[in-house]
Amino acid sequence: MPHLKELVERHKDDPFVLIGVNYNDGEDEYLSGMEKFGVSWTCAYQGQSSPISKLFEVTGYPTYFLIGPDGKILGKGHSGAAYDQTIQKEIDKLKSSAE
Amino acid sequence: MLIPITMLLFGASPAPAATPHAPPSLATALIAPVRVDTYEGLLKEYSEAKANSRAKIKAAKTAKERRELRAARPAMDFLGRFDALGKSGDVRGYFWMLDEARRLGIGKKDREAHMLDVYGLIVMAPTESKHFLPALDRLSEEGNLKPAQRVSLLKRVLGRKEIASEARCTAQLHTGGLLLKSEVDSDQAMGKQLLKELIANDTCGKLAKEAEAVLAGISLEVGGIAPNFTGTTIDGESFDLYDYRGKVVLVDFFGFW
Repeated sequence: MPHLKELVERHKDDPFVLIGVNYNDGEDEYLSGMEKFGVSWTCAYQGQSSPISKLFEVTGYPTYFLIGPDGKILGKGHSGAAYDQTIQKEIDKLKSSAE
Repeated sequence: MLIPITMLLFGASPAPAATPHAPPSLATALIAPVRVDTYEGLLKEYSEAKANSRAKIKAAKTAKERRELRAARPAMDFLGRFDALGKSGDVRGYFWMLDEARRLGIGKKDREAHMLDVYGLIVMAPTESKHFLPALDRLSEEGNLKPAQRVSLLKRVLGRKEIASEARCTAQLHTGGLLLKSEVDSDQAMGKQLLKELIANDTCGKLAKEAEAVLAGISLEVGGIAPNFTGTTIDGESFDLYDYRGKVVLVDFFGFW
């Protein structure tokens, strides 16, 4: 979580978004967790049934999918920090193509 | 005062106060709106009946008694009402028939025919209902039916006149997607054609993006196009993954537990 907060802060002016998809928290746990960790980014709350996890065949948590601006999956795995460089590289590509 | 037909059927209705001289006639009963159950209410009643039946079986003293109790299927008592719900436009009534097939006494060998029957009702249901699109999603992913069977059911939606545009676009997306995966060349070509038409159709909105992704090859592997999803925040606001095209997106599946 601290890493994610930092990541969002670092790219707050970039064409980047972090989307959380919560799995299996009760409403109370979820709300207090969001507050405790200061989650400011958009999160989907799935409740007990987990259609999005099923769609993405996610069985372990956390799981990350890094998705490029064209919708292509650039990486998936269990460590959020593993994508820092790729995220930066993709943002740079977008910025240079916009100039 | 309108008397629900269910009360008339069960004779539990008191004489209507407003018309003391004219007892309710059959005609009154027939013009009175038929009260259709809500899905949630009906499901609750059904769960109670199931629990009741289980408790009775558990308490049975002899094997014979148990057998008889097992043969009396509570699901059968509810079939008519779930059917009425489906007919009224809430296709979840039909989903129930699919989910409870075993409890309705439909054996393994008749399961496929049952599914084809019930989906046959679903694809002809009112398309404006908010339950219709999820029904098409479910049909397109129905693992118990062959892709060709799913395609032929979805085509019945496409063959209908006067249906909601969103329903037509969704049916077209699913039909195209299924045909594209076929091993037959002519099917693949037709799938491509359907998806391309959808992309060119301005009335299909965000489904056009999904069609593009299907054409490009949706997959969960690195290099594939991620499938779309609609997320709902705890405040009830919804967003689509595909809304973020043009940005780098990190999706984090997490739990606080």
